[in-house]
Amino acid sequence: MAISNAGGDPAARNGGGGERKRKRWADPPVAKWRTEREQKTYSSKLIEAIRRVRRSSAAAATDHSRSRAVRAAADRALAVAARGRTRWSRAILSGRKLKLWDRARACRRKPLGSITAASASASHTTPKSKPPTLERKARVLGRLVPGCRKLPLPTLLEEASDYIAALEMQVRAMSAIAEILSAAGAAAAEPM
Amino acid sequence: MARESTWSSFDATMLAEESRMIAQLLGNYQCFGQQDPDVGCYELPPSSWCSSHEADSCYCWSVDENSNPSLCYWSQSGDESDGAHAIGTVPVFTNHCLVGDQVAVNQTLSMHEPTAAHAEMPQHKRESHASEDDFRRQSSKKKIQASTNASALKSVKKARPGRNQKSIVSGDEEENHARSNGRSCCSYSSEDDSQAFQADLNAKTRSNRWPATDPQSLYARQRRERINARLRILQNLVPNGTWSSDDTMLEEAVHYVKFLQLQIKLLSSDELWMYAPVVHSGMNIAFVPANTCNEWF
Repeated sequence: MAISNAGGDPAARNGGGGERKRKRWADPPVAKWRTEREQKTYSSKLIEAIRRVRRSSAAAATDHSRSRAVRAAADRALAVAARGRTRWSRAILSGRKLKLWDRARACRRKPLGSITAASASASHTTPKSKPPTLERKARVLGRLVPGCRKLPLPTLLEEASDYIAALEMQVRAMSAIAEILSAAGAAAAEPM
Repeated sequence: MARESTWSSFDATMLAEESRMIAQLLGNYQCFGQQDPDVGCYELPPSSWCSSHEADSCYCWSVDENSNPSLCYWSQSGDESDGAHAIGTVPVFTNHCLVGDQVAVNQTLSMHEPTAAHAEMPQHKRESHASEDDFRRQSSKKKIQASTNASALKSVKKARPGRNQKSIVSGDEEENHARSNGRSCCSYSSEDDSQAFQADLNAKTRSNRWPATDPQSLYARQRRERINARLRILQNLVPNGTWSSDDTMLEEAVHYVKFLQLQIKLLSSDELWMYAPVVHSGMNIAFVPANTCNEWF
């Protein structure tokens, strides 16, 4: 898969000016996900993705695998709609298999004690330290958002906000499409 | 603060003269293009901005007849294919504009996340510490900024992380200071009008002492401010996000993300995705035709 923006953004992030550029999108994209245009774009992409899924899994094994394929396609379409500017979208596009494999490897190698050590060290270094519970919850949130496991809290909050906005749009779009599809299906079934 | 007292009075009649003065001062830093004498409008070529600004946008600081200085923002970046258009004199845009954001800023007409937008603003202010003094000394009649600029100085603490501090030692920081300073003056010139937007930030920043003495505590404070800003954004997103505590906000966010993911999972498990007739011609109701996104899959 071609991830065109993945190379550009880290390079921009390295410089001092790139740092400002990276910070700037915290606010606008959240509103971006609410526009009608974005939803339309995503809907069309989703339809295309669903068609491909149908073609590829014509002899689908189980309902579960089909629904998983549908969901994966929907998430990929969402990540494409994000244009690769956010970590979670890049993480989704770079492959879900990779994510699962990394997770399994991390669970095997990294003991749980290191997590508490990290939180303890975090509380020692900063004078105005957040309590460890905050750190724990941040880690939970990082696990939920794809590709945001080891992010610091401010970045994580940015990613989470964008991800929540994108998910909301995804839900809206999918429910709208589902409604249309069911209506179309009902209309097609009537003459019979 | 002494600075506040010097700028406490806002003399509207001095605007034209001040605009010229600003032009001179900012022209010293070689960051300005041509000046429109009619409007008192300065067009800033995109290339003259510091590296933080890469979009093709022009900033024009104009003064209205009723002496309301405002920052008009023309964005020419074709991201949203909106072309170039002036936003107008909405004060809240000045904050966005100063950040030099992409066209997406144009769409943020609402004051959705004012604190967040403002948090992005001060990233320049942090660097403009030293140059602010010079700027003030040179332009004693710069009453436009008034208390807003003082709060801008204080909002410096809300600025970006330690990376910004390290970037101060870079060579071309002087220019950055000047430009950001000019931008800050331009932006905050209209802040007097938007009290609601500014008051929130003022309440946060004035509670902090300025200047900060301990760099580490300053960094921690900045970090805290940043986190709080992001939490505000999150708070606006999450429904019933009226919790002010960090813990509860994070918890609510986690629950909401889980809920959304579950909702999507349920939606996608519906059979109709696979078996309902998906005919493109029949779906033209509200859909934009899919263009070149095939390579992603």
